[in-house]
Amino acid sequence: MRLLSKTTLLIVTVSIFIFLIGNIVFFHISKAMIKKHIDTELVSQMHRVLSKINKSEELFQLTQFSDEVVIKVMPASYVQHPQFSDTVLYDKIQKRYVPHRSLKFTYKSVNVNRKISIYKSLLSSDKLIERITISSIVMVMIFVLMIYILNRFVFRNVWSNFFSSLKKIENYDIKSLEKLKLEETEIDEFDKLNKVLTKLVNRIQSDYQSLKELTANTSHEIQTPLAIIRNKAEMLLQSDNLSEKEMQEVYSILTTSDRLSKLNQSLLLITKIENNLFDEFEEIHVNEILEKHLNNFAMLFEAGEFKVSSELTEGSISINPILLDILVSNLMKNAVAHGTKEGNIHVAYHHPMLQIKNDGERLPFPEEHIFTRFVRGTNGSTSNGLGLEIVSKICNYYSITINYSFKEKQHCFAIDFSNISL
Amino acid sequence: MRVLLVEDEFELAQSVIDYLKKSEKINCDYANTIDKATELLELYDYDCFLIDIGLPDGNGLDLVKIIKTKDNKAGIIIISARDSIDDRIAGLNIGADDYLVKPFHLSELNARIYSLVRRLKFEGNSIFKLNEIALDPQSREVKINGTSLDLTKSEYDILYYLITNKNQVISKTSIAEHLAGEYVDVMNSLDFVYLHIKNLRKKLIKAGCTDYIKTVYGVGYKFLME
Repeated sequence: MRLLSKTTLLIVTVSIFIFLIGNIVFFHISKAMIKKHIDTELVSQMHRVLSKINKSEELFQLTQFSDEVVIKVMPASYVQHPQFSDTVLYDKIQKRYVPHRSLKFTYKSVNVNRKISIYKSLLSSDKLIERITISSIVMVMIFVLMIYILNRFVFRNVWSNFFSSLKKIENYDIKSLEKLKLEETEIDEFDKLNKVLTKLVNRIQSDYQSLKELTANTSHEIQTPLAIIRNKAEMLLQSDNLSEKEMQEVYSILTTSDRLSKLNQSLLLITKIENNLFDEFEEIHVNEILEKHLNNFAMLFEAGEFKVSSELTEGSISINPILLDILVSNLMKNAVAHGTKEGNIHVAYHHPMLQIKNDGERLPFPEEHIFTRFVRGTNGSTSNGLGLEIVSKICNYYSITINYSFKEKQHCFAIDFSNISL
Repeated sequence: MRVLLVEDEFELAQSVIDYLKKSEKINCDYANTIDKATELLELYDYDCFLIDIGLPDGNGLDLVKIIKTKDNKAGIIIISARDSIDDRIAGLNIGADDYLVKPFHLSELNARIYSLVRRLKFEGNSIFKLNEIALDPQSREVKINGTSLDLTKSEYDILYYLITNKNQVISKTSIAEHLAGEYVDVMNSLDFVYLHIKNLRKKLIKAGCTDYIKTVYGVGYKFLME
């Protein structure tokens, strides 16, 4: 829910609730006040009637003092203390029954006991309460509407800087060399937020840049000495007065430095994947990449070291081309390195599922360690034990699943690209 | 042939210079900065430039741009320790002919210079002859005493690689890497090079060619031709 909708909804519900209670309370209070007012009127009328009776005795003969005052002669023993009550009387003008308030009492004079009842119509006061209630409800509705409009207006004004900052941060690319710039606002809290955010983002950006540089530099700094060792060894091989044994030792310096540099490259690759340095992606036809690798393969193994077969269907995914290339080549390398000689290698791509199978012996270590760093089979002494870890890192990076299984003397790696398939 | 090597790492440069001089009698001049390289550029005509990207006084790619503005017809090979696709594309886009990642085999560098210079100088129409062997890099055809020899792609690549590095000891890994590229680490364990060399030798001898390919036991091979 948006901030504006949330605050508006909250304010409107709370104010409606408050006004509802307020209205009920107001209704009851005004009703009680009007009742009290009518009661005092009745009492003053009683006094007026009594004073009039005292002045002229003949009035006593009348049973009907007026429409609102009824006088009845009662037995001497009858006593009625003054008492208020609510009744309904027929109104001749309105031609219907109308609620009335009454005051009844007895008055004794010259041995005549009279019961006097004074009535007061509540018609006008009920109307009054009704009108007051209606007008207060209308007021409340207008008020709530005003609050709603005011809230939107205040919201627009006060939060505009916040939203412009939010938009800027949303569109900001950590990898760009541009610094994040947020507008200054007169609201202290937003200013503080902007400052904290700018600081944070700049920090992340500089970390990202230095990490990127570090990986590139480390690669450069380690590769150069390794290149020197390798080239010096190669030069030594050209010397004419080395014995066969010395030549072989120089050769092993050469191959070991090779291994070291490949190890360095692989570790750097893993670091780069883990640190999100491969975030460009393109639409790539997986079948084309597989065909390219299979062609390279066919050329390398023209002497028939492996029986390579494939089954490819069209299909494209959104992935970094370098990572897909590394993924496929590492799986193929794995199939070659651990496949039996003259055995089968089968590559199948049924969009978006990739399967690479090769004949081979059961793993000498538990299956769950297959993607772990430096866990190797027995025959791959030249492999650096990082190939499948790189594969699993790439899969993790794109949250695609990879499964290993061993059935009928065949190793099988299955990758499900459906997460990133197009 | 005259080559200019621009590289700040002296030890590395030394090996390159020695190797090129020894194998192909290539005269290799050496500069360790862009400044020095531009100076030498004014003085001599070069057939090929070998340029490192990370130089003390700037980026090697800038030097490539300078060479290109001088309308130089020489080949340019970038040698860099940074195996980044961006650098590779940037280098090739501004006119470099090839890109080699450190650490590289000297024999590989030599073969690349050789192919590049031949391609630029003879515009590809160059059949080169060594005694009874005639090799056409354009059509990838090999003739022994005039009769053509049927070689597989790998066998041809090995022969070409050995010939461009003749009289040098070529390590097995270097041949394997030349053929298999990224698959090299797998190939080493498979006697892959041995298999192809064995077949190549058989075919050459059968066609009446002298057996120039000598095995350096446990290390590699040498194409011996005095």
